[in-house]
Amino acid sequence: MLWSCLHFPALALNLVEQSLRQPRPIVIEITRQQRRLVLLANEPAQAAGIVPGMTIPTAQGLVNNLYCALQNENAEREALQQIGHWAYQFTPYLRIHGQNSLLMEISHSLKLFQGQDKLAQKILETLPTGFTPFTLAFCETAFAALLFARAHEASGQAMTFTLTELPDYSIDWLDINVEQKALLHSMGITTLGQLLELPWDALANRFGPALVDYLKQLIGEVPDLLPAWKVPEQFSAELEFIQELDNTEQLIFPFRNLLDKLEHYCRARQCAAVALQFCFTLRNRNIQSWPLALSTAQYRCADILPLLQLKLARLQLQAPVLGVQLQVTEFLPLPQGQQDLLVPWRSDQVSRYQLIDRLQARLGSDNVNGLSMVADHRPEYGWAASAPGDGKSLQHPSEQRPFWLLDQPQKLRTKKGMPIYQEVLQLIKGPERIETGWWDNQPISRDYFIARQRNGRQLWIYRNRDDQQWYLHGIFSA
Amino acid sequence: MYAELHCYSNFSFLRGASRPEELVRQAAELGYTALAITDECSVAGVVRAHVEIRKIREEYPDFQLKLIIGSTFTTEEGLSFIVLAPNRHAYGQLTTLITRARRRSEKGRYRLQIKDLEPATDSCLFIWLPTMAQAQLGQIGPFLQFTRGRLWIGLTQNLNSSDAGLCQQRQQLAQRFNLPVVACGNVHCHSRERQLLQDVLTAIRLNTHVQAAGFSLHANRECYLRPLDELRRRFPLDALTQTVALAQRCTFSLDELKYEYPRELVPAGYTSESWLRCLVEDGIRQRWPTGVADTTRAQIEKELRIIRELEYEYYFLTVYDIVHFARSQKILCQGRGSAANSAVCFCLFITEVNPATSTLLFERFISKERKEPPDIDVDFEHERREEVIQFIYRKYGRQRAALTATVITYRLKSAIRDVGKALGFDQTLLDQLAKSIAWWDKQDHLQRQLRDMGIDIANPHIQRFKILVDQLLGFPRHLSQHVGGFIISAGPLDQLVPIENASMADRTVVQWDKDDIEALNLMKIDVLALGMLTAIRKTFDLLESVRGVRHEMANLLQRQDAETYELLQRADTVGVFQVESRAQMSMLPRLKPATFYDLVIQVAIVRPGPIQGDMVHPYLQRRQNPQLVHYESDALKPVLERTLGIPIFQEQVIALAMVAANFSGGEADQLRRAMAAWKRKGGLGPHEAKLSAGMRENGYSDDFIQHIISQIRGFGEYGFPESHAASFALLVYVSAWLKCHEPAAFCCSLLNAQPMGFYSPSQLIQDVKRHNIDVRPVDVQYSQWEHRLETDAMQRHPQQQPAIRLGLCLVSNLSRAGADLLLQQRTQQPFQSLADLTRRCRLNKKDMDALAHANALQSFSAHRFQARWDARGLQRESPLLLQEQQLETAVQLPAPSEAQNLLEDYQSTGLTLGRHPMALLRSHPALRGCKRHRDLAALNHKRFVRIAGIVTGRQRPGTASGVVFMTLEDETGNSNIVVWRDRVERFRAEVLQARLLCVKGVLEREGDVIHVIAGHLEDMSCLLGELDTRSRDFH
Repeated sequence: MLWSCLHFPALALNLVEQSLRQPRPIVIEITRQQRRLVLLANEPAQAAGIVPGMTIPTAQGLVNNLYCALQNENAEREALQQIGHWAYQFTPYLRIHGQNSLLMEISHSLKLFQGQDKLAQKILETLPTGFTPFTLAFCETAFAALLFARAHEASGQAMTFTLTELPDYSIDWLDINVEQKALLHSMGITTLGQLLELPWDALANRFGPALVDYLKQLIGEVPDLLPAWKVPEQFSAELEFIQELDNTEQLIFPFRNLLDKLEHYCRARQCAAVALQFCFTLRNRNIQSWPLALSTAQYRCADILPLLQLKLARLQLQAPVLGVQLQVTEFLPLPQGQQDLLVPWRSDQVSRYQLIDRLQARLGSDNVNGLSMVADHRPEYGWAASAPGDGKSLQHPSEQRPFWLLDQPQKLRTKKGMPIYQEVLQLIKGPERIETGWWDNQPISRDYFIARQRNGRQLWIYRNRDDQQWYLHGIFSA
Repeated sequence: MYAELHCYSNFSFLRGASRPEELVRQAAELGYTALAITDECSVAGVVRAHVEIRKIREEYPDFQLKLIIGSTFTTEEGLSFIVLAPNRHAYGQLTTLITRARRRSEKGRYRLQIKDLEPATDSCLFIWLPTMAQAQLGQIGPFLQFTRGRLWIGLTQNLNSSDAGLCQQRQQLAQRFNLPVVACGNVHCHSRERQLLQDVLTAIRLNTHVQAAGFSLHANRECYLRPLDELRRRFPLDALTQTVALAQRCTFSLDELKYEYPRELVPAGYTSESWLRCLVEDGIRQRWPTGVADTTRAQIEKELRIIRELEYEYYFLTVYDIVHFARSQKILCQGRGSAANSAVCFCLFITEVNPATSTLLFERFISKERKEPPDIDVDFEHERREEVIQFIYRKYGRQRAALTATVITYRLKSAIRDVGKALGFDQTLLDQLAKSIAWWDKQDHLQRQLRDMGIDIANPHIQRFKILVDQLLGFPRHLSQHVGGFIISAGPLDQLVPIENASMADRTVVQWDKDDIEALNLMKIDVLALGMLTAIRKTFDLLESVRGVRHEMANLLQRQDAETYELLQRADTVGVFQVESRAQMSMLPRLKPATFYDLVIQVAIVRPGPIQGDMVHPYLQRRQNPQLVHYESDALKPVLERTLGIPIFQEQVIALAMVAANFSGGEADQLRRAMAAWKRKGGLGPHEAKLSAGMRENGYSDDFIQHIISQIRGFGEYGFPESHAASFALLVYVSAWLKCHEPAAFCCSLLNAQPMGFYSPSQLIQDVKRHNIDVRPVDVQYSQWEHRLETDAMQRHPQQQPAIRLGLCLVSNLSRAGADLLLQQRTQQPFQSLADLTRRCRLNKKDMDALAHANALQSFSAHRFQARWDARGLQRESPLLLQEQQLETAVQLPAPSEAQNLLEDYQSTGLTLGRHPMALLRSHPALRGCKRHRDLAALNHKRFVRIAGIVTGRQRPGTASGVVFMTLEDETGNSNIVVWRDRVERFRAEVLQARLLCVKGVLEREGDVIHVIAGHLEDMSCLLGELDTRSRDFH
């Protein structure tokens, strides 16, 4: 077997740097025993004297304006996963190791890529940008490749090693936990040469059989297992048309076909689709994509098709269509405890969501909103738009608030100090003083009153305390 | 006319946004008749309000604002009301109620039920703040019945939308139950402007930022002390007049609180006077078995007369009782404080400072003019103080004894952090702002500092932030326990002041701190802990077992030993009490103390007061050349004679104010209080003006006046009176004597009393080794848990010093249980081999690792590497595998190098008995040309030197602007490095981080005192590898 290891020692930094336009001192911060420590520092930060292991306040003492990013292990895993997808072109036998490494068994691919050098070259040429520093190491066993890659961290090139080189290396590069490394050091055992000379039984007694198994694998005494890259589960299906279609109505049939397949797929996996992605292959071989978000997860062809029909009216085809592909990447599991998949979800909910879907399909999704209350005494900050159905309601401390709040308060004239709106208003309740909001430079200072018009309509008006100007702010429902 | 009866101060933590003092001033200015401070289940802020009124009254004698003591409660049933104390009896009921509600809850909370009120509060007045829901409560009938004639309904009108409805409901309830209504302000701030801070406090309390605090914030700024015409607009007239009527029923003042001493201290048949006399006469016979000198007898009589006149017998008897207990338990103790060093206290064994040999005068410490009780603090061995505390609780009960509170307040750092968080600043910005602390008070410096960080101070957010931080400074956050201030009373203490739980189990604190207690003339005793007393007692114990002689502090003091003073004069004082710090050590060779009183001065002179007042150099000059001694005036001669005309002690400055600036006794006393608190409360204010005016009038030079004022400011931070200095000097002498004559026993005891003092065990051991004491390593075959003395060498030469055997306690990560197991097995039979030890003790892996790490297994395995290998091989999870053990291939590991051993020595025990790391590194090319500490003594003043060492100390004293003092340790001793401010700026990273530092600079010498003024610093920590020599940072 021949293994290669791609190692990215500063992956966390790479991710932060990719999101910044200009280079600046950055550190990745971790918390250990309630101390904030530097895990990684980029070049500008290191140039200022910051080294990993330093506390954050000290680092900040060295660099003004230091950017401290928290480690985001999910994002790192995601990034490695993406690199894995990319590497899948070289070999199906690959796996992610730890937080920074990708291990690939490539002996099966050598023929295809015309030898190790060509393959290495290909890997280096096509490696996604933004992931430096990195190392690419080749060796006979997976763990040895990993060990050499880590030991030659950030070499930025392909390097080939043999197992005979192992004894010169420090035990620090072993993939074992720090406690075991510390224990080995504490016995004066610092190189692999020293370690590998010790009898297996004595080592197993002191460090456990796992260490010995690992070492045996490292030096090839026990062969590595071949990992298989697990392609993430997603739905994809396509249809090639026999003849061009140039009318959206004609698409209904192929859609039904695809949605049927999706429904079977969902039933098998017990999930429902959150969003659909259609791709039309056009006559000019261009691809036109057509995303469709669902407000609630769906799986049944019969539920999704009517939506599609509504939306199709708004679809403009750029050219006649040769084929269509449906991809679904986001799924939600079906609720637990549902006995029969064929029984629809709670009918009122389905209809409510279906209503929202239809409204959004007609009006455009930006034009359909829900309402949320916001805990702020200032009336104009007391609400916010939210996604339909996500609205929040709160207990408001005030007893009386108008149903309709004007978009902009409307200035009122006065007569003998009394405000006028169509007529001189009669104040029936107040003042309620609202004087707050100093923190975001939008402070208000107002005395609110409830006023009554002759026709019985009640208005919510206020007087600014600064300039005594009256405003109309809301109208109560009758 | 209006009396505010519902007002929260900032002692309703994170709720009230104004200080009690501010509330009182504001209420007075608005012309209120009375102000009730009604913090929630607390009276912690009332003394401050009371003192403020007292102060205003001194300025305006006809000033009339009545302070009413009250508190707000919400019961578990949901009933909300204010309780007010109309008279002394009701006050006691209120404090008892608070105590009860607080004691049954965890720290900072309370629990009250309606049934707790009856009949315990039958003298209190109630203002009910009802809602309709409260009126529906089942228990409301009995509540109304019980409070009949003492109950009002409170109307609240803060212009909230719900107020109108609520007022209407309350009016209805008032009619239904036939109760009078009274206006309530629901005051949270003294002024409208303070609402911003109140919002911030709310956000801090909810652990969020203001923007997210939502409806928890007040909707407007109306919860403040409103002007009378505003109130008239908001409330019906009868509700306003009722406030005054209600206030008139309240006649109680905190001045009525009178302290009663515990009576059981006097046996039957004696009066307090005759019993004190009896104890003193007893003491005289013990102290002077051959008869007391006439002058001393006269002194004692005079003191007893003053005590009688001021009725202080009980105070002395109380302290005596506690000290007597400690002595009976052989717990070493020593009194200090204003009255501690009197002849009477000497006779009562409260102090060992002998009035016959010292020049101290009792009158200086206890004045007839001051109407306050004398102040005696007693230090006890720090390891055994808890026994004394438990004795006090046992003797007087928790009903009658409690610790005083320490109000934990917002300091700059915490204020910046909390305000910043409340304003939503991110962590990076907060960290940057936190670094600006040193410049906070200096606007232009702060501006520059912030600009350097890229923060624009003109930014309104930053400006508002700064204002809020300044307002929050000094605000109380919570009550904590004072380190040892006890208040003990004759009757139940909770009728005097509420008692609540401290966070420490089995501790209770009162709601007032020591300033409050002093302001009300209540008595407290400070029961403090002192590590040096532990070390001294342990040394006495060791010497008794090794030499068969029992020493006493008093005996040692009687002979003034020349060798001891010589040791002090050459600053050979590592480990000696107080004079071991770097500043003290550089003063010793200059001051050259030769008598006990010199030590008193030595202790007091290296303090911010004398340093800031520039008194140090003139004093040293006059000591060297007595011709320079003169007095600014003849009147000052008696005040300053004993310090050669230079004021050094706080008492002298106060006496000076009276003699030179015509202060009356009372004024001088106020000055003393202001001094203690000026940093906290801001400004010496009128005292300073009066002092300079008075002194100028009497013809003193401006220069002299300025020095005195600077000195007073210095005292403010760490006031150090002569009486304290005298008590400390005594411990200086005793510890110096022990170090001089019994260095092994003394060092061993210091090690056993850790943590304490200025030096680490490593430094103490290096020092004792330089004094040719044999220090032996930790070894499972010989060590006890504590460090001990080994006398094998002494048996041949009794004059010789014993050796110190380091104890297992030094081994980091070794559990006490494991060590005990090991010692117990070894006592039965010594261990034959490592396998024998493993089999018999069955120590866990962690303990075995710890022992191997510390090289404590060296009797069995050749070295630590082998010890670990061997020990791990014997640690089997399963006994079944024991058979295989014999079959295992034998392995011999190579031995560690000297450097590896050194490294592990430091990691495992924090010290090495081998060569110093610097000795190992000496031949390294990077250190070529570096001097050793010992070499410096032979070099000339102003010579250029290069010196390297382990950084063991960094200090940035508040008195020296921007300068950093560093201590470098090498194989020959400790060198003092001075890094001036510009060098600190230039070599920031090196100053902050270097563990091994190389300094190029200029040597400065003054007599035997040597410093190196750093010019260039180089971090050489890389040479150390992982050597763990983390410095102790003293900031």
